[in-house]
Amino acid sequence: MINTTMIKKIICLGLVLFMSSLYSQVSQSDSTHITDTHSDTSKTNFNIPIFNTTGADADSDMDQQDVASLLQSSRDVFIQFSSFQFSSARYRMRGYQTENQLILINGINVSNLETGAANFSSWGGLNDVTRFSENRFGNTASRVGFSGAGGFTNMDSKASSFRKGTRISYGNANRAFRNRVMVTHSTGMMQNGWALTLSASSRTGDEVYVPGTYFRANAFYLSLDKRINEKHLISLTSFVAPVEQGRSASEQLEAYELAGTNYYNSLWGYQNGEVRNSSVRKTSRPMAMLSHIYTPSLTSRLTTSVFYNWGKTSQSGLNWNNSPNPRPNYYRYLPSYFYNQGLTAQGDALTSLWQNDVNTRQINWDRLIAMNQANFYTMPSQVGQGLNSSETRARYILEDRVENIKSFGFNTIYNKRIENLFVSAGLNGNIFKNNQYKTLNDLLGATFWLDYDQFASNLGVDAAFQQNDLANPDKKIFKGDKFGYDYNVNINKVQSWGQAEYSINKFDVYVGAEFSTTQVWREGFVANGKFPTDSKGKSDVISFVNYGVKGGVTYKINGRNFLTANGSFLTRPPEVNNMFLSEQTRNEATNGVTSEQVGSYEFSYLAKYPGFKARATYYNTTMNNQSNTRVFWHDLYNNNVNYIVTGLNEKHQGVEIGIEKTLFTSHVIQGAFGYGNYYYTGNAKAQAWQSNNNVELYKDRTVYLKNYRLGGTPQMVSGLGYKYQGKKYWFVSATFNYFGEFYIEPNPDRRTAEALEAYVEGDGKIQDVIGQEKLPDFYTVNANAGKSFRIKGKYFLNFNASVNNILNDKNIIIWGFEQLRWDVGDLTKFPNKYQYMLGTTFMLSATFSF
Amino acid sequence: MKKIILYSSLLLSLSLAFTACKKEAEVPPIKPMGPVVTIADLRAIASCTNSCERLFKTDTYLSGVVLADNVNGNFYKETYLRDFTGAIHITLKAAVNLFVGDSIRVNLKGLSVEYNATTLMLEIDSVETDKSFLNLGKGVMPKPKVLDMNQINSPNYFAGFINDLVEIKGIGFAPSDTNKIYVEINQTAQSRVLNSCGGDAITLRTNSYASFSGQKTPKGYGNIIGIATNYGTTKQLVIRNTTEWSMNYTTCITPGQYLKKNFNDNSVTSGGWTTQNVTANINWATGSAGSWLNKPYAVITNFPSNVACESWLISPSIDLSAATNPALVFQNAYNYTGPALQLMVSTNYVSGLPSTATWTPLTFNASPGGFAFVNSGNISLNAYKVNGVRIAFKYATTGAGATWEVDDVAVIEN
Repeated sequence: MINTTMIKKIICLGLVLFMSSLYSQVSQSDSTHITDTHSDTSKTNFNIPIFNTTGADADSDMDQQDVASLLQSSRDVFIQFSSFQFSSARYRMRGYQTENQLILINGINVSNLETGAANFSSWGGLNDVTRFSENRFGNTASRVGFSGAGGFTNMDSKASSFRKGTRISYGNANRAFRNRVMVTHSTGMMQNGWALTLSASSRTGDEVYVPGTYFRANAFYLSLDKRINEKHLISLTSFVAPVEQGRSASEQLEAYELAGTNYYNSLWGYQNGEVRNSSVRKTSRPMAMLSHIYTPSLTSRLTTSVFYNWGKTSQSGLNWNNSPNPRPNYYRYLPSYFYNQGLTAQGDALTSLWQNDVNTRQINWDRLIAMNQANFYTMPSQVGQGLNSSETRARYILEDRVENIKSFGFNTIYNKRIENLFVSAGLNGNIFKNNQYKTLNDLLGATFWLDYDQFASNLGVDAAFQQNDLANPDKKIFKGDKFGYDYNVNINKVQSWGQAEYSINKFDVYVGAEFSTTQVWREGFVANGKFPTDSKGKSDVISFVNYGVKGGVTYKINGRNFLTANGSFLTRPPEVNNMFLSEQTRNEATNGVTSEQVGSYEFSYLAKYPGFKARATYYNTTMNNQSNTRVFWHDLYNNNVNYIVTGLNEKHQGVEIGIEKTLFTSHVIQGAFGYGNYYYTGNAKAQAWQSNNNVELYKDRTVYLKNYRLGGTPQMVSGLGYKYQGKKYWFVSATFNYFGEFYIEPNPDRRTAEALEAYVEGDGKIQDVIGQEKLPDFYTVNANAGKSFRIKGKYFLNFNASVNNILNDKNIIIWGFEQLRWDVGDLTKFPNKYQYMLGTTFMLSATFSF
Repeated sequence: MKKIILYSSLLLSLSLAFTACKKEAEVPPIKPMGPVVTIADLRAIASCTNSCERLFKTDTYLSGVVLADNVNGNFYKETYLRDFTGAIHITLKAAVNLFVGDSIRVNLKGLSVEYNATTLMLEIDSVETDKSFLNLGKGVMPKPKVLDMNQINSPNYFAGFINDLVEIKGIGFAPSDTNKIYVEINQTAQSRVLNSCGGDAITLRTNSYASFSGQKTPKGYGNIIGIATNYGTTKQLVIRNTTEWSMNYTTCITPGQYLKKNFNDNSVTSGGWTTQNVTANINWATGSAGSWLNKPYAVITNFPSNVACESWLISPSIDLSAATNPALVFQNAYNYTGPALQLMVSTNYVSGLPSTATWTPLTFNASPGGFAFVNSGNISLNAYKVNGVRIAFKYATTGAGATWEVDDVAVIEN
């Protein structure tokens, strides 16, 4: 019951919220919102998943007797805000990357072993069959697998889990896609023991918001369950979601200003009058899983599964040889390059071209083709024989960087309840192969492309040096051919885990542990001219032995108030691309790349009253010994370098508060406040290798990162929401969200003593090199409305509308990074790049179910 | 219930306190400022003869302004730096974004300063700018120093300009080098001769990588800005671009300078000057005796014949109609007893005997004798701002006369 102290508490918490959220936003974001992942820092921009559940869906059939479910996403105000309001500003809860969360479908870990992160687009569009998920964020008990600091999401996607019925929906939006159609039919468990669910969806849109982009995605799903008897159920679930997406890029401010729009996208251009995007990502990775669920008694269950996940992802991009950079935003093509040299006339001329000539602003495909067609080329083998050639060698091509995975595994989970004790245990294994290579997508009018490494050819020592494939020197590459590199990353992993939960009086406690071994090796299929002996064949096997422990306690003050303490510690292998100096070209392993350690603890207070709920949490997570490998053009060495940072130590600490109060049964007020401090706790080490000849440029260089803030997510968020629940199945809601403490990830190469070699104490320009940019605070207002009709008692028609960024603020920066390429002598040459939040967007949907 | 509030607010305030405390980001170690040198210091080090140390072994700093950049390709992997004591040539290991006007601080550690054995220019060789240079930002654009082509061959005069940005007023390509491609196709660099108006010539040196190397040298006369360089004993000018090149005049005159005559071509009458011997046949001639720096000069004397004579040295016609404050200036010297040299001005002289026109005498600051050259002072020609002005030196004596020497005659804007 609400009494005076309750009211005091509300006022107290509300005050904090109100003050922190004098500005802010709220919206019901489309659950399939596509987050762009473009930057040159590969893994930093994967968001913590945007939960697929909506508030209405998930309350239903989860068992409520376990206190651990207190933090279930659907019912947690802060997590709701994070999922639907803060995510459009790239907010990642607690600053965690995706690999910190365990993502499962039917209890099977669907994370990619190579990166540790799950690819949510693999089931994108299958909202109807992935919505029944159990999400628990943070350190928590888990009965389906061992989860660490980020918690877990388990999507129950078996035919027998779905109610009988058909659901058809249509959505219209101006975000990543324009149209969405979803159809799902479930038979439910039939008399004969069979259950079948089919689902399909299509999402399409061309240049919906950002010029040059497009989105074409389909998804197909089939699940077939057979209940053999009371104790045995066989379940087959398979799905595939082919997605093709023409992407957009982050740009520097100058390009946005010249183009006159903050949604300028340099990745497309006209070819023959048609818009063509150079950066197309295609993914099609089918997944099939077969499970046997054995329930010998009411208190025990054994789930045994095998799964197979395979398919390709390709990413297209321009490549060129001995020719000007084809990208319109290349720094030498920007007016500032000339203005900085005092060449006002050239700068003005270029400014005018940028503003008036689309072929200056965008990729000029026609010119690339013309330049290719003019490049008659006599092969080295023909030289001296008086032969000439009417064949042309491509100066420019569009290539596909392909990753073709095959992942096979098994998974066993055993759950047993013995009175107040609940025991879970599991064993799983995974054999993973990722074949990575390039294929030629488009010769752009030329006859062939030569399989050379242009950065090696200018070393000029030995003709063989530039050959990407020594067995086929001077190889002509035609459309569809493999070239460049071709290798497998192999990973074998076996994991066992266990957990015990116990309830006594006012306490719930649990402990869990995990143990795993991982073997990683590379196998090259071509001998590369630069590394003839180290590129082909198998590398040494790199082995990791990892473990994790966790535990937690909930103190039930009474039936309405709870205090919890949870913690975990685990070790895990680094991302595979950090294990090799240059995965694409050779087998040599990176020195000093060892397992990462993640330690985390959190304390929460929860209140659950009718009409009022609240949570306040303090969390503290350290992620130590991380590494990061990148390739970029280093101006000092005038070469591409493999730049490896090891010993990265991070801390993520902060508070989360979420409260919800229902007034007069139909008015709901929600508030969420998160204040974090995510930063590097220590300095790291950098090593750099020249990528075309294996020369060690340096190692053990100290990177002074201590106390720099982590980039890529606002560290302060707050939101205030109001919802009116009408009596006749309708609602309208609005939220106000405020974001702050948003930093740009520092470029490690700039935070070294060597980078400041020329500086002396007191130089004002030192801060230009090492200072960290903080993005401006911003706020958004979002709104939602919905109405449901029940027709003839058995048909349901549901309308939903959501509008984001109602104020149509097009100047909100939600992503920025320091370019890795930088010029010690001129910091303005490679300025930071940014990305803006879309202006007002909407999503309208109608769902018919029966 | 009260406990709960206590717990929760305690947790909240504690955690906020934990979280909110922001720490300063670590700063990489930065060294203190070391000793500072000037280009004059470097010149002294480079010219020191007793096996001196020319390599800097510790952090030592030189600051200066960039005079030349790679923008137009004529300065590739090199730059010129100026401070308040002079200028220096720096060759670079790689082409970098250094721009004219940038304020640079050079850490000389590991570098040595020399006079280049071939070019004889003060130089720091093979600098890795990323290590040694710090670009402090754009400062004031460096202004060129005016190089007087009348004095360019005077001892020690040009040395003060080498490596520096200079402007030469009144210059044009030699006829044989006019309308020629700066750098012929088979050359990596090429020299073209620039003749100054009244003064000496200088070599224009251009690199084949210069963006304008395929253009043709312009006709006409005007001003030019560039870097003064040296190649052994050859005095050179290297231009930064062709926009600092104004060929606005069809005749060889120096803007703001209506008349210039230095006799360095050993000709009394070049440039339109004439002589008129009214009485006897005592001629104006050129001479180069004595210690006067800018030899030769014009000289006249009736020694040893000592005949009565009247000889005029008359300037070409000068157009002062557009002048604002024109003045005449020249150098003069004399020795031995005799009447003073007379300075005359006319606005209606055309040709022939001086008596065909009206001449007015002008006064000037005359030499004290003993062949000591003195400056005449700026003699105002404000009363003669018309077209067709001529000045003349009149040497007239009835017996043994003095020896008069005249040099560097100029009519300029005062």
